[in-house]
Parts: sequence; structure tokens; C-alpha cells
Amino acid sequence: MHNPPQRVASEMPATDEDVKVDALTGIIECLTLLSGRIAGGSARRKGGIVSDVEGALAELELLRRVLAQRIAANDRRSESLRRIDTALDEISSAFRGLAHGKQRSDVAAMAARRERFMPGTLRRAALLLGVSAAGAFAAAAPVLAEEPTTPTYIGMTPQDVGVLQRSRPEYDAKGIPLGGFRLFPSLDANASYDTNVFRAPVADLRLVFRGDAVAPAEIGMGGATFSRSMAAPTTTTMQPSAARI
Amino acid sequence: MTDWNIGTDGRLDISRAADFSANVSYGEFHELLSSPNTVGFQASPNRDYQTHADVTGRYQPNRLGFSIGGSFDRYDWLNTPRIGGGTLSNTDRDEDEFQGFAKVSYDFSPGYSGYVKALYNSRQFDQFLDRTGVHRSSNGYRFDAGLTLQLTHLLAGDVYVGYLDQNFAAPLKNISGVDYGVALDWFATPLLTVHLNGAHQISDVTLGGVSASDDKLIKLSADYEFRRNVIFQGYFSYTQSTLAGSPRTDDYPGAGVSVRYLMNRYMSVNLDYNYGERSSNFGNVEYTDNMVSVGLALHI
Repeated sequence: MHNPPQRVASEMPATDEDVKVDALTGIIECLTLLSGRIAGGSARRKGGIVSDVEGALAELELLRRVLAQRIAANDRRSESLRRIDTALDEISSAFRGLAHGKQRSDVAAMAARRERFMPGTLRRAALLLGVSAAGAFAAAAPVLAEEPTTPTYIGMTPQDVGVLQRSRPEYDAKGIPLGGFRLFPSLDANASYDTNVFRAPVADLRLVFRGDAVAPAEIGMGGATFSRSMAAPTTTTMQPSAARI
Repeated sequence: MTDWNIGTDGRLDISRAADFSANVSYGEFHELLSSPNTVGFQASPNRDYQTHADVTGRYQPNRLGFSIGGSFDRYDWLNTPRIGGGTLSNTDRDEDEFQGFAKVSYDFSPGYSGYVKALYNSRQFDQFLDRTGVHRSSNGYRFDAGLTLQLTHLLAGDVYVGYLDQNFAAPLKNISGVDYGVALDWFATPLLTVHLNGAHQISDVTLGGVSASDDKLIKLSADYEFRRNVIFQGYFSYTQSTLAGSPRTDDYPGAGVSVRYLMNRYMSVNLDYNYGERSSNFGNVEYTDNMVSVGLALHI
């Protein structure tokens, strides 16, 4: 219930050009949101700026999901769309660097970094999206000049997403495409030192090993009208052991 | 020991106002050694196969919403190895559990949705009499009224309160009382999320003369993002278990801290410390436990 609202199929752009425009618009909105927050950063909490960067990252991730669906839906456009996806990935990385920079530095250093970061990012985005850099700056200028007041979420802010629920594209599993499915296998293994394995009144020290494995998968069919997910059989590499210490 | 499970779930969007969802799973699990069902001569925890299926239908044409659903759970218990050889039979714990619910909600203002919910459950054991010579099948109901809320952008979650009643065959004692539940998230800062969870549960047991364990749980936990890929977690928990039909009452305070390091898209490591304790008005069942764990998680 705390995740940002998802885009639905009916909101997907219809053509390559629409995809490009949508992607560029999203990037500009993200940069706008970020720049405004950084500009007013001295009067804001340090954590709030980091949160805004994460909001921008979440928006970029949504764009990438839309692109991934379109790549899967039409092979002829895949090369062009993959270039856009690459651009978004690079920009996401730059945003993440900015976020980490904020966690380590003060607002002044952040603002200085922004001056170097934003023009280069727009130029690279424009290049990879196949539109002119001048056009991109022209499109961005009026937006960048405005003081942003409203996040791109309706009724929600990035702060509404819990620490463990928020998207971390650089650390989240991508999954394995499996036809219309996407498989997310995982394997967990733990080694524990327990002072009272059998929960006895007198402590009994044991060393145990434990492991778990799950492999959920998701499938999307015919737009967004039906979806389901499945978990596949998994193997585990747990080594039961009870070596008395 | 190895736990595993396999499952699938899905949702069919019938219209903007109506959807239907279902979930099925099957797996092998183990029962914690801290369970009152653990006997002293067990060489390992009790294990069982669990089959689960649930369906839910939802219809919300406007502020008023309706949902109905049901679930089925099947528990097949394995024999447990005993210290010194032999096994302990748990066949008398094999059971089917059916649940059904109906819920009516109303979004009375942005960020607030009130609801009333009625639930019915039936627990049917394969064997008419268990190892202690009693018939443990039961049925019960709950009536709850709750609130799903989002207060500004700082507090969100769900709270409810109501009444529950679980009926057993004589001589086992019925259980009734206040039902409650809470699941609140406090987004204290963008880097810190605090959770409050609580519930009232009725858990089947095998103790002679005891109808079930009447458990009241509360847990306060927090997640702190120290770095984007370094997350600290901590919790305090408290569970009071009253064994209905017995004067025995157990208290389970607990606490723990952990740190998780996300290394890349494929790997993370964690270090955990957990403290557990059972205090009781019943002799020779109290314990304390400290556990330190290191873990590796791999995913693709």
C-alpha cells in the first residue's frame, strides 16, 4: 500500500517517438524536482533531499519498466528502445552517485556538483534519445526555471515508502525472463551460534546451519488485465549440522 | 534442516471496480523449538507439509466496497526423531482448516477507510481423538471493526478491534475475548521507518487438557538506512501465551538487531543477534537464548 502508483498499459506511449518524448519528459521532471530541492536545500532537512533523489530514481525505474514491456512486445523497435533503456540506466547511476554524495557532504557541495551534473546529463540523454541537445535544453529551460512544488506522485511522496520497500535498482534482482514469466530465484543460507538450541532450562551450546530458497516468478498477459505469478521448485544447499561446542 | 515451498498467485481484474485474486502454495516447514508442542526428548524440531489455497473477490464501485474470501490449509505432520532412537508420531496433529470472511469498507475521507469484517473458521483433525484422548476439532468466529489510514505522510497502516470466539468439544475449554490487530508504519525520516505490529492468535497445541494457546503479540521494530546498501534493523517483541484449560501462562519477551549489506544485484550478507526468553508460572519450562547468525543471500 505504500508503493508509488504504477503506470498502466493504457498510459503507455504508442510510438517510438512517444517513448522518447515520454522518457525525456520524465528525465526533465526528475532533474527539475531534484534541482529545486537542492536549490532550497539549506532550509530543508538533509534527509529530505536524499528522499527526493530517491523519488527521481523511482520515477526512472517506472520508465524503465514501461520500456522493458515495450521491448518485449516489439522486437523491431528493441534496439532503439534498448538504447533509451541504457540512457536511463546511466542517468539512474548518476542520480545514485548524487544521492550518496549528499549523504557524505553538505548542501553547498551538493549544489556545486549539481552545476556539473545537470548539463552533462541532459546532453547525454539527448544524444542517446536521438534528439538535439539544443532542443533538450530548450525544452528543459522553462521547467527548470520554475520552482517545483509538487512531486510526480499523486497523494504520495517518496517518504511514504518504507526503507525496506523502496526500489533499489542497483541492488534489486532483475529476474530471469521465462517466456511471459519472469523467474526470481533466491537462495538463503545462515550459520548460527545458539546458546540454547533445545530451549532447555540449562543452556546447551550448539552450532547450527540453516538455509532457505524461494523462486517466485511473475507473468503479464494481454496488457494489464490479467497477471499472475508463480514460484518454481527450488533447491537448497543447506547443511544440517549440530556440532556440539 | 531445510524448509522449502512452491506456490503461485494471481489476480483477475474484472473491471475497474472489481477484481478476483487467488493464491496456492505447498511446502515443508518446521516448528520452532520454543513451541509448547516441543517435548524434551526430541532430537530435532517438528516438521510438517503445508498446503494452502485462498481466494478473494473485491467490488468497490464507489466509496463503498465489498469483499469476500475463503482459505484452505492442510497440515501433514511428520514423525519426529527422538534422542536415543525411535520417532515420535505426530499423526494426531494432521488437520484441515477452512476460513471464510466478508468485509464491508467505506472511504469516508481521503486517507481514511473504515471497515467491518466477519470471519468464520473450522479446524478439523483427521483423528477423532489425539494422543491425550480428546477431540481437538473446533470452529470459531471473529467480528472486527477497523480503520485503514494514512495520516499525513508520516503514519500509515491498519488497526482493528473486535470480538473472537473459538469453540471446542468438551472437556476442552472454549476461548473468547477481545480480538485486535495493528500494523502501522511510521516514516519518521526518509532513512528511518518504524513499525508497530500486534495480533491476537489462537494456535493449536498437543498438551493434555489444553484446548489451544491463546497468544497476544506485540512487536516494535525499526529499519534504518545507514547507506543505500547498508540497512540496520532492530526490534522488541512480547508475546503472552495463555494455555486455555490450564493455569499455565508463558511470556516470551524478545529483542534483536541486525545489519544487512547489499553487495550487488546478486548477493547480500547479514549479521543478526537475537535474544529470546520464556518465563512461565509453570515449572521447568523457562529458558533464555542468545543467537548470533551470519547469512548469505543469493538472487538473480
